[in-house]
Amino acid sequence: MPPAAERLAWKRWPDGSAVFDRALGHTHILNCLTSAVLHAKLQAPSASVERIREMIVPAGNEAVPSLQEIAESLTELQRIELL
Amino acid sequence: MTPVATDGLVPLEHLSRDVFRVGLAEGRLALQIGPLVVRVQTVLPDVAHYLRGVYGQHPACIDPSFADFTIEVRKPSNLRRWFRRQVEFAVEGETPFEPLPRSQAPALFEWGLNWSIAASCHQWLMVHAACLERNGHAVILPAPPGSGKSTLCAALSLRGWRLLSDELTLIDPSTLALHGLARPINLKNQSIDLIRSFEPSARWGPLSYDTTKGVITHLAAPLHSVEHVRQKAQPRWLVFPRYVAGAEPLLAPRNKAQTFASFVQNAFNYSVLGETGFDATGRLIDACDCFDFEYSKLDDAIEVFDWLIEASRSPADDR
Repeated sequence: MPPAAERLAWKRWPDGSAVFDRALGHTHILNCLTSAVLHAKLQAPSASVERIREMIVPAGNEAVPSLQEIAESLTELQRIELL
Repeated sequence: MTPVATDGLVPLEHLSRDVFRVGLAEGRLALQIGPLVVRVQTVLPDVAHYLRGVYGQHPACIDPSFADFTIEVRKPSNLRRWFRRQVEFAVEGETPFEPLPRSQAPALFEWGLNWSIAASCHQWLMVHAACLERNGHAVILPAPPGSGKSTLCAALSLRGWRLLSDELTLIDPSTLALHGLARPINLKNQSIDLIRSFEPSARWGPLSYDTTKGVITHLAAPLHSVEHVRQKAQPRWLVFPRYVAGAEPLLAPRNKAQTFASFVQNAFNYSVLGETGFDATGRLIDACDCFDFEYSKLDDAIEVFDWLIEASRSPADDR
C-alpha cells in the first residue's frame, strides 16, 4: 500500500476533516483532534504520543489534548486503516 | 406562455391526442426531461392520461434521434396477470422490479424512471434531495423519507422558487452546476391535502392507494419551472429539513465535516465516482452555507427560505 501521504485526499474545515483513501476507496470523517493527529503523524511518522502533542496547535479556545486523547485518536486511525 | 420548443420538440399537450396515443402505444414518443430524453411506450390509458396531465408542458416529439432511456409500462406477460391486475416497468427491455398492482401504474413510471436515472447517470453526482432555485441561488434539501422534504419542496415551488427536482439532484462534478428535471413532486398521505389546500389551482396526477408508502400522488411541476428547466443553477445552501409537529421554525448551522457525512449518506453514486465524488462533495460543501431546519408550518418555512435569499443579496444586487 502506498504511503499515507500519497494515499489520502483531504478536505479540512475548522470543525473536522473528510479524508478519502485512494487505495481502498473509503471516506472517513474525522473530528478536529483526530484530523490533527493524522496530520502530525503523516509529517513525522515515528513521532511519539508526546511529540504529537507538541506538534498539535490547538485552534481557538480549544484545550491542549491529553496524551490519552491522542492515544485514542491514534488507535482509531489504526482501526480505520489510515495509519 | 408555453415552453420554447427546440429541435422539433413541442410541449407534449400540443401533440394531437391521436399522435400522442399512437406514438405512446408504438414506443415512438419521447419526453425531454431536463437534460434527458426519455422514450416511453404504453397502451395503458391511465398512464397516458397521467403523462398528458403532469408532463403536458414538457417538450416532446415523435421518433427522437436519440433517447437516454427507453421505458415501457405494461401488463406482465406471465400468468399472474390472470390472478390479479398488475403492471410492470421495463427499461431497455429489462424489468428491474416485481410487478405492482395495476392501480399504481403512474407511480411505477415515476419510481422506475428514478431508478433508471440513479442506476446509470454517473456523469453527475446524484443525491436523494430536492433542489430549488431563486435569484440565481440554489438550495439543496437532502433528507430521508418522512422528513417533510417533498412537502416543503412543493410549497416552495408554488411560492416563487424554481423547482429543479424533488427526488434526484444532479450535480456536475466539475462545475457543481445543478441540472433541473422539473418532474412531478411525489406527495403522500396527509401532505396531499395540505398542499391541495395550500395551492388549490395546482395540477395533480391520480391518487394511488395501498402503496408501500400509503396513499401517494404527484403534483405537476409549476409551469415556470418547466419553462426554465434547462437553466442550470449554482448551489448556495445545503439544508436538511425535518418536519416536527408544533415546532417553531429553526435554522441551525451545521458542522461542515458532519454535513459531508450526511450528504454522502444521501448520495446514490458517491462510491461509484470515487475521488471525483469526494472532491465534488468537498467543493459543494465549501460553496454552501449548511443548516438543519426544523419546521411545522409551511408559511413559516417559506418565510425562512425567503429570508435566506434576502440575506444573500449583495449591495451590487440593489444597484
